[in-house]
Amino acid sequence: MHDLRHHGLVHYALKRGGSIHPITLPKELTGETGIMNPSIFLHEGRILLNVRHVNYTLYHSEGKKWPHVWGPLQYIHPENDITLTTYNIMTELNGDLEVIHASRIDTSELDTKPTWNFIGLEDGRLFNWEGRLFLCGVRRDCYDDKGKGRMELQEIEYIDGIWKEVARYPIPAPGDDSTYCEKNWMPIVDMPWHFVKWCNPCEVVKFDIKTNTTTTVHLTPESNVIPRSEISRDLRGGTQVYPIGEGRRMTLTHEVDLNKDAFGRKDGHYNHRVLIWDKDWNLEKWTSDFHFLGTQIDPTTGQEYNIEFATGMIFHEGNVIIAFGYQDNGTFLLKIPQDVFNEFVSRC
Amino acid sequence: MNLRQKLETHIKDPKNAFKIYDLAKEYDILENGAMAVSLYLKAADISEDKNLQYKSLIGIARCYDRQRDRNYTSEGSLLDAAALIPERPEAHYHLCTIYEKMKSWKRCLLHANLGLKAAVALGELTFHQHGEQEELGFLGIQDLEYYQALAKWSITGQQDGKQLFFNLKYKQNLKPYLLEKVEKALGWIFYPDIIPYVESDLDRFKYKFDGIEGIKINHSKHFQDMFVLSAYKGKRKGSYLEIGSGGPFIHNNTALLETKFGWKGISIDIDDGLCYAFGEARNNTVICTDATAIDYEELFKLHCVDPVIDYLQIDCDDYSMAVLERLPLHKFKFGVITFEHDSYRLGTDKKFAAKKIFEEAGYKLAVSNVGFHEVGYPYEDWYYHPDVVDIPEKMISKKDANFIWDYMMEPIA
Repeated sequence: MHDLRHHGLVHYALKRGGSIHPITLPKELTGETGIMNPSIFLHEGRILLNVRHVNYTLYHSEGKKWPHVWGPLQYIHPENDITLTTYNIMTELNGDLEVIHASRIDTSELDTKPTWNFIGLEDGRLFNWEGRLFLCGVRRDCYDDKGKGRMELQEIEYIDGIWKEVARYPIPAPGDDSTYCEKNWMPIVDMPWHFVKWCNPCEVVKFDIKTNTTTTVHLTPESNVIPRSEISRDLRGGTQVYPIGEGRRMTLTHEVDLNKDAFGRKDGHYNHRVLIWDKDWNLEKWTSDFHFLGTQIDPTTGQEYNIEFATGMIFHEGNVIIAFGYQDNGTFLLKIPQDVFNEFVSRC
Repeated sequence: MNLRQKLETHIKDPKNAFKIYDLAKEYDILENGAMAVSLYLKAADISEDKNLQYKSLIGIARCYDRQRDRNYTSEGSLLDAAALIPERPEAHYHLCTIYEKMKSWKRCLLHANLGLKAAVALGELTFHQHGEQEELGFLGIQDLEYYQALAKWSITGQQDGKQLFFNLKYKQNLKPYLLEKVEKALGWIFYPDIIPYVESDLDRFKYKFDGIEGIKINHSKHFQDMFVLSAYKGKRKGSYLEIGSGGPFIHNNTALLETKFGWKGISIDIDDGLCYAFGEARNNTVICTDATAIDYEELFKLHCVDPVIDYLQIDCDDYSMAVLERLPLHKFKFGVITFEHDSYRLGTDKKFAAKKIFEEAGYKLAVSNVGFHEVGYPYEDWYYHPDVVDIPEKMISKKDANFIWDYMMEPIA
């Protein structure tokens, strides 16, 4: 427990045979702005990693000693461009988790003129359904001028040496599709067209690509919801959802504490957990909340400072590999021996 | 250590600000600026070491700067650094670079001056010893002096800015990238109207003379007074005839001779205002009249002028030839003559007509085509009469055109 609270899961893993792999990309591809929220996936024997590249660099003075003039947490985009724009860079990794190829996914054929200033497909999770490779994230640039967001399936293919978007499927919210913004749905890799929309209570939804409708196919009954006394925050979407045998499924989620500094300016802090559901989507196991690279804790307030976000995970050659972003600015892969990971999940 | 090793080192000792800084630097070197920003900020947040905080804040600013169009953010981090340790020059320097992009010239000048004060006080050697100048992208005092010149010029558009650029080019061994920038600036703002001699030029001054040590600054536009004194080896109580004298001090060729070396003479100008000011400020005689209408023999007789006069100035713009033609050169000799022909704008006819007159009267050319720009702009010829003055041989230029600075000053060491 000591490791997780103060030093994070990476420190825990390194002490037990794991390894950390920083992902860097050439400035010609990124302009040196943020690369984050990566999603890793095994596809036809290749290790693919999609990296979210943004036109901003997050300024986050965790300790609040050196806040930006506009506050401790600010998205610093070009001064002549108020958009927060996302591009997706697809990379292929070798067995040592080094980048051997990286290029921006070409979306030019399906892009439309943005109607809002959050542009692009954000926080895409990478997965394969029925032999088709998808990136699924939230898009907010095409519905209205107020930021309405919907999950979107982006089908991608490797064509003539570049990754290209070949189809785009916006996913309506279940019910009357009246919500403001849907995000962080987690694709269930062994259940095509199904997502875990919420974790506690667990809501599983199915997207019908033919009728363009979304239906809730499971909602955990109130009696089985884990009380707030045991999990204090909303569990939000993280990585893909994987089957782990006997109908059970596992994922990695995140939680957010939003807070403000002394002048009422926004700040935030993220935690993660590993969740396991039984075959009926009841939460069977949830780990303690943890960070990856550790956190800062204000000695007077106890406030923790950290922004991390895991959006992909694979099981590969006896290891679990988790892809996570740091401060919206960096991308890392954490490789943990499977037995160490299992022990962590069972003990913590 | 490579990036991964530095990352592991940090993870194993996550609260060690120096290790975080090392990792940030590695990302910085790899031109992954966003991640470097996060780590620099973390190092600055965690550390209690002011120098480490200072370096981290500068690192943040430089990373944002590379990402372009984030000037206010870079400025904010640099102001944090400058406020933290105002006695260090690096943040002031980088603020100058930001304000240059923002065209905020008064702020640029403020930080150029603060940075210069800091750098001079600390001494450049100190920073070299610490090996931090290059690490922080600050390459030395000259860079701050460049911004001082650029800001000064951009604010005023006046001679002071030009003078700073001129001093950078001609009084310093500039680093090549700075020399290129300074030459570019001088190319479009042009050289200053006056190229003065100041006491700090003494070591490089070619033709030293008795009493030069007492001169803090001269008054001529382009060393005419210094040329006369050099020719006469610092002679005291000489004599002059100054035609086209202008004001009493500014651009004046005899003020230094009178005030510091006790020379006597007559000055002539056509402008009432300038003559009035001259009369108020100077002890020697000034006559307000048209120099092209004077009977000079009468004038000399009236003022009991000796037949040998040490220095003659003819500086009458388009009328210099008309004045020259009236002078009784067959009866009076002048030791040194500075003659304005303005051939850079009037062509060379007058220059050569004057040359013929002077040579027929026994004068020799000491400095031909005195110019106020490296590429030319000749506007005067300087003569001497060998019967009157024993001018040092090295003062006689063999060049057809003479940029005044190069003529007067030794090359910089």
